[in-house]
Order: sequence, then structure tokens, then C-alpha cells
Amino acid sequence: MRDVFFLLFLLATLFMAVKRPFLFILAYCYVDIVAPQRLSFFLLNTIPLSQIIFFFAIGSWLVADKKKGMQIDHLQVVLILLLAYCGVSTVYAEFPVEGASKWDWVWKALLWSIFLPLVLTTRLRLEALALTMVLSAGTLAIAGGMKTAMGGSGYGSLQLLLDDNSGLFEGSIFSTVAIAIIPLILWLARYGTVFPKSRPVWIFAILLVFACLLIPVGTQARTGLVCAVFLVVLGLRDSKRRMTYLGIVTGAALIALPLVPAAFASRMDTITDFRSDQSASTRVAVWQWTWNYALEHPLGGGFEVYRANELRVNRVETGEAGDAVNREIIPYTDRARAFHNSYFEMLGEQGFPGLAMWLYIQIVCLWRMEKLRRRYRESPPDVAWVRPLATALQGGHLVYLMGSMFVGIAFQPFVYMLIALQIGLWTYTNRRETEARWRPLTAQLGVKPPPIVGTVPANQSRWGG
Amino acid sequence: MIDALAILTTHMLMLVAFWRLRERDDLDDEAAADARHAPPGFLPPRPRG
Repeated sequence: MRDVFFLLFLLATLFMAVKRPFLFILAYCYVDIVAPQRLSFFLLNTIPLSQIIFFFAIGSWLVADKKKGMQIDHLQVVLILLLAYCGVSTVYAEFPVEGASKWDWVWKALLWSIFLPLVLTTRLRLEALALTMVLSAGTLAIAGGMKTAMGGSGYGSLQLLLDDNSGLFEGSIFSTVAIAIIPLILWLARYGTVFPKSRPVWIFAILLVFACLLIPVGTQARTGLVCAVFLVVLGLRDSKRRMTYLGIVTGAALIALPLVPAAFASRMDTITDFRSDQSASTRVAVWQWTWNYALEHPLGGGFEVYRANELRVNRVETGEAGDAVNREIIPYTDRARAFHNSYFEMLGEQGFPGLAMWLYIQIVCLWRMEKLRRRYRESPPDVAWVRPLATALQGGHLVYLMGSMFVGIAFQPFVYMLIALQIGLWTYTNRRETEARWRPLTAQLGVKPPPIVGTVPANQSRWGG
Repeated sequence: MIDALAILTTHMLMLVAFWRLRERDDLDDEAAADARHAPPGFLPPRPRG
């Protein structure tokens, strides 16, 4: 039944895309996030669905898209360089077979993020991509949130549509993504034009936000809790009534605390005492190993290089004997421990040049969104959506960077779509501003042009109507 | 059951969104959409005779 539904959904989408080829691009984003071929049992899992939609998307764009307003941004060039660098590092990887399997999906994510900004030439396209990303990720969030609300949660046991702990379906990774999309959900509810602001839209948006907040509880991923707290702090930036905001957040936390499962509370306790937690103390050891490895191999060891590590770690066990508290140091050895940190993942796998390119992309995106936030602080109604979108994208990106401290998601395809959305918003606003600044020669020479009936006066719009 | 409900909800919303996008002129070209919806700049030609 599920297979038939997915098939019908895809056929309907492809049918609609014949009239509007941009929908093929949205269809690929959907396939990349939800992966219906992995959720299918017999129909879609037998065909290379992702490749088929990819070729439809690129082919229709080449043939049928007007490409009006298309611009190439320097961040796309940096992404091309990063892609090339990763390709070379894969050739010389310490683990060529395992590295090749990661390269197999990384190049697609990077290529797609290079391509996407080229097609984000209108406001509606930006919104459509944001909506597709939110609804696609929302599929996992609603399923996970409802299971958590019904008591079906647990560390490593919450099944997000698929019994597979890889990619977006992994608990910690999806916890980060679920929190990162909350600002985008709220932006769509307030400024969306596909589903304009209304009571049902707001109700759905609030329920979806609630489902996203339940994901860290359901997966019991500490990363998710850290990201959620970080997002709350970020919310203070634009809050006009900070005390009210803090009061609401505190009240919600006090109501929620007794309702969270005991297992979740005890797991979150380990955040403050990392020495007693084997997972956390091993992570610190991996990061130390990666730093030393990078000093010896500054160009990186290629994908999956963490497999080379062998760590000698001490874990502190605390026990009580009568009134005394005993702390026992237990040494143990761990091998092939994953990075659990995107910054060290980049450093170990792609070396200092790869890390520099990756950080450059992140910093420029954040800086640009900040610029847009300031530039559009006071803006007329027709562009009132720009600043909140920049704020939402920046907030989501900052949450991702916070989550990246605890999970290796340096090449997560969803995040590269978020980056593409930021590049698209930047090039779009720049183009519209340039168009608005353009004046006919007669105006520049001081000759008053004849009035044109039926156009909006330039002073009523930031972009000149 | 929960999975089916989540899939059904979001996918139906996506279908509605795609349908609405299909009908929007400003998806591909904002200037052309503005021009199409702008009032005419000149009066229609007078009938001859």
C-alpha cells in the first residue's frame, strides 16, 4: 500500500512538473530527504529513483527553464573547489574502499548545492524550496513526534519511518535537523504565499514545531537538547518583549519537565559529567587523535579515515560505599571510533585546506544573512519577508553548526540545501536591488520621462515596483 | 499506522503545494507575472468606421 502511494505521489508530481519544470527540482529534493525508495518494499526500491529524478531535473532545466536572473555566486566556486578537493582526497584515501562509499553520496550533495542556487531566481522558488524541505523533513518529524508522544521513544530505538540508523534517519542527526528547521517553519507560517497565513496554517505549523521539539526527547539525543536550548537563546535576539519570551519559555519548560521520560532525564544528566560517560570521553580522545593526525597529514586522510584510530581512554566510575564516594578510573581501548564532530571530521578527512573551505562557506553564509537582516531592518511591505527569512536561515544554520559539535554531519545533504537557499536569497536580493538602482538614461540626464500609466511608483517599493 | 498518517499528511500537503505552484506565473518569472497582472497602459484601439 505504501509503495503504491509513493508511486502515485511521484507520478502526480512528475505530471505537474511537465508544465512547470522547476517542480522536477523540488521532486529531487523530496527524494533526497525522504528517500521513498528506501521506504518501499517492492516497487520503487528496484529502480534508481534518485538518478531518474536527477536527470529529469537537470534535463528539464537545460531545455525548458528561462534561466532569467540566473547568477553564479563565488560560494558556488568554493563548493566546486571543495568537491574537487574531496575527489582528489578520495583517490589518495587511507581507506579507499570505505572512502569511496562515502564519496558516492557526498559528490551528489555537493553538486546539487552548486546547482540549486542557479534556479532560485524568484521569491516563490525560494519559498517553494523551503516548503518542500520542511514538509519532507516534517514526514520524519511527525512520525517521530507522534511515537514519542505515545511513549514509543528510546535511545537508538525510536524508528523514524525506517529501521536504519544512517543519514537523516539517525537519531542525533535528525534531532539537529528537526530543531534547525523550526525557524523556517515559523517563517513559512507567517510569510508563506503557497499556504498563506491563516488559522489552519498556524495550527499545523505549531504542531509541527512541537513534533520537532519532541524528536530530541524521543531519540534521547543530547545533541538535540543542546540545539533546542541554543535555539531558545537565539530567539532572544529578535524578541521585542524579552521578559515575556523568557517567561513563556520557562513556563513551557516547567510544564514539560515532569512529562519527559525518566530515561531521557538520566541521559541528559550525562551532559554535565562527561568523564563518567564512555561515549563522551571517547569523543574527546578521538578529537585529540584527529588533531595529532592532521598535524602529521595536513592534507587529510580521505573519507572514513577515523577507522585508523586506536584510543586508550580512561573512564571515571563513581560509586558509593556507605558515606564515602569512590571514584574509580577504568582504562579501556577503543578502535575506529567515528569523529562525532563535523569540524574534526573535515580536519581529519580533508585536512586543513578542506576545513578552511568548509568553514569559509559557513562563515560567509552567516555573515551574508546578518547583512540582509541589517539591510532590511526597515523595509516596505513588499519586501518585509526578506529579513525574517534571513533570520530563519541564519538561525537554522547556527543550530546546525552547534549540532556539528557533537555529530559528524559535515556533508549532510539537507544542510547543503540550506546553504543553497542562503546563496539563492543573497543573489536574488542583490539582483533585485541592482535592477531597482537602474535608471533610464533620460532620468540620469535630468530629463523627466513621460509618465507611464499602470506602474507602481518607485518610492512605494524598495525594489522600485 | 503512525508512519502512514505522517506520510499521508505531508505528502498530501506537498501535492496541494505543487498544484498551487503549477498555477503561479511568478514561479518562473516575476517581471512577466507583474506585467500580466498590471493594468493596461494604453486605451484599447478605437473601433474603425
